[in-house]
Amino acid sequence: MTTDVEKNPKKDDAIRCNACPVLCRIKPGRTGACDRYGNSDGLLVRMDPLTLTERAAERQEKLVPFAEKAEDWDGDWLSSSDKFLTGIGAGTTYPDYKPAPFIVSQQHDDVDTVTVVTEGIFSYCNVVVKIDTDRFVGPETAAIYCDGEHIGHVTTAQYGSQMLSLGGVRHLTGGTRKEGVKTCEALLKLCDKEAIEVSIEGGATVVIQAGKAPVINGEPEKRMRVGCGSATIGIFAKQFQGLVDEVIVVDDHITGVLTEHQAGKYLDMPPSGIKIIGRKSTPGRYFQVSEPGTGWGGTEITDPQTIIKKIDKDIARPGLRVLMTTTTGEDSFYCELDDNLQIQVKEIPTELKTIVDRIGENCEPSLCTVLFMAGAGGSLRAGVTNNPINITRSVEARTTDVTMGGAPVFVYPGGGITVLVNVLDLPDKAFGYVPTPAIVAPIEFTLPIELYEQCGGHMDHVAELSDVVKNATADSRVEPWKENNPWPFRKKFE
Amino acid sequence: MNSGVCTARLSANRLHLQQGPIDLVIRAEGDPTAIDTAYANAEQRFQSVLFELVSELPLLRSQTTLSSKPGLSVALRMWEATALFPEYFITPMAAVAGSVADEILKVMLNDCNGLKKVFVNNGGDIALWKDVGEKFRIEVVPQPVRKHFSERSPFTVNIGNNTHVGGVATSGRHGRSFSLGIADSVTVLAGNAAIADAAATLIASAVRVESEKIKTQPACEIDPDSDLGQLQVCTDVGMLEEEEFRGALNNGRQVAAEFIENGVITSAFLFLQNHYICIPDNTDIISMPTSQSGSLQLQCA
Repeated sequence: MTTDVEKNPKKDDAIRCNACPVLCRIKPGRTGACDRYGNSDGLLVRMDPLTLTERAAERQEKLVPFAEKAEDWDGDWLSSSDKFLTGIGAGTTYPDYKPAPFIVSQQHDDVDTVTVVTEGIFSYCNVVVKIDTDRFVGPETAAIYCDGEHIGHVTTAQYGSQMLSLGGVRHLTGGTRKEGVKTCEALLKLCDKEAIEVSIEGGATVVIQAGKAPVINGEPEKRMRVGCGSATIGIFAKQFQGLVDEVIVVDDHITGVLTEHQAGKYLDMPPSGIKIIGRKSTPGRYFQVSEPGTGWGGTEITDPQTIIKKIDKDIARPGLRVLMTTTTGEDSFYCELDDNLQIQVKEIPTELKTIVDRIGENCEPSLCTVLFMAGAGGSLRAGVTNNPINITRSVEARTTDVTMGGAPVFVYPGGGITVLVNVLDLPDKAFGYVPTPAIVAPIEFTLPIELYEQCGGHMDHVAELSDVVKNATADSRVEPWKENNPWPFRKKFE
Repeated sequence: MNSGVCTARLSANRLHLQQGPIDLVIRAEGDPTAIDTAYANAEQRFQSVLFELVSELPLLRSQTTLSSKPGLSVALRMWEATALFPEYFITPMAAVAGSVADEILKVMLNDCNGLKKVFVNNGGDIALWKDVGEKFRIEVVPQPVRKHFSERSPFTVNIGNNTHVGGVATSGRHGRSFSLGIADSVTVLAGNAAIADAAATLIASAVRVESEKIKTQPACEIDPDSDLGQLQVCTDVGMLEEEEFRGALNNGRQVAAEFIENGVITSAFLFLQNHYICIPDNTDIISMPTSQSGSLQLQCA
């Protein structure tokens, strides 16, 4: 590109590009040292003039071809084989019997492929949130509020995690207008990878952000537990042997007691005589040692001695060494029994501390996972084909691939096209909303062209990708292809 | 800040490494295990190259002098290559592309058993290595053609057995960097890519003539970070009269001939507005062939 400097007489209007460590200062109308980023009226933009995600690393823009293998390079720097048009910003057509905004044909590995690109308006949608924590955030089915509006509920607990459901048609359009607007706003923020704070009825306040640690009652969660208390005993029993005579792993779900547990028995560890409160499940495994809370291992416990019911004088012995810890190793307590079998709190021996630390090392970092879930089985399909059931059947038969913003989706078996996608797999700012309120999300259907025709596709609206690219407006954006997403075009159609 | 290194395999088993302005296309030929090792070495070395350069950037953007020797290896290559031209204004940045290519080539050859030939092409500045008996055929495109390279360039250079060419570099006013001169391109063959890069920059800058058809502007007005500061760089060239382009090419020829005489470079090919000259082979300026048929061998001495 050339610069007309007369039009830009100002001298101090360079912007700083932070796309790489060179940190070029770029004048209006110019590009940085890489030629990839430029200053467009004071804005830092990718210079590629396309609305696509692309496999950037495969682009070649060399000035000098070379060497004897130059003939296998087509030199076409607008080569479309590494571009994929996403539905982001595609807009939508209403009513849906009009063909989708972009029905794009492109050759991929000798197979002519059609991608139908649109943005869906979803009233039936929610986000499924998984927060990795053992702390009590609220009872199952408890209502979840955001800025005073009811936007979702607590659902099933999973191993090391708590599941939440936010959004859904009953909050978006089934409640008051205010409830709908707030729900829509919260969903949009979560889908845009931003943070929201919610309060759970009878539970905690939680800050949720995709890919980040949940913040519960102001405390960022650090580790996801290695297993329940019983599992922790099982994993580390052998390592504890010889260093300590009893280990109690406090956990909201199952608290483990080493010498009573099958693992301790197997190692011939003698009973310690220390009895804990709670409801015994199987030997060495106790439920409900405490109400759920934000203390030790997701219980209310802050002083672990409170769960010791009694010390059996006939079994316990002076000098008995006792460790209490949690499934994440974040809390620990060590004591020995004196000659009167009374607890004497002591500093934890270094060798034992190593094992407690190892419990921690075995825990993965706690994260929030945000999956967007929506049903695309409705009238949106009419924009894809004349006979909508055909596209549904093709998706179910997996001859049509569905992606959202280029990201892979899980298609629920059963009727309709109900999909689940990890918001982190989509480019930024991929979602939008309409005042209904409802969420707008990109969606693409990719299938071989013959199949598209068989499905009753809008063949007269099929455009070549290169033409779409040519007509793309200057404010369109190109995002680098997300490395972990599979490329939507299949090698071969069978 | 996205400072990630992009790595990809291209067709013909080539390796692509890119970070910021550095964009390498690499190919090794020979035993597959040796290629894998070479590519792994290249990838590993590449991780820190840009960060190292950035850490010495102010020094690298100032004039090469005996006292301005940088500390890190790529920067040192840049300094060493540009220090060969003490009579010219030059900064280590003039050899940045070639030096990166040389550095990556070097690590690929750390264990070269089983390799037959390797090239590291950094945006047109290429470091080359070949085993005895191997050769390279390099196509030279005098002016960048952005859309289609389906038309083959009529200019090829063969690098065969009896040469010590380890680098090919091209400079000119169409490239990413500014040029003080008006040459469409100057391609230089030299012992390594860094020297070829620096020499091509200086020769291209020497292809100059007084003409009102040439528009210039201080480099710093276009790019505030340019190492060329207040120096006038070429922004546009109208169609020149015969005596103008002859004069410009002859000015460049003098500099190229001097470098060849001093043993700094092997050959240089200068292109300007449908005319070219190959030094040291040609004694006169030649018109570009009008038809694309046939191939013109640019000789490398």
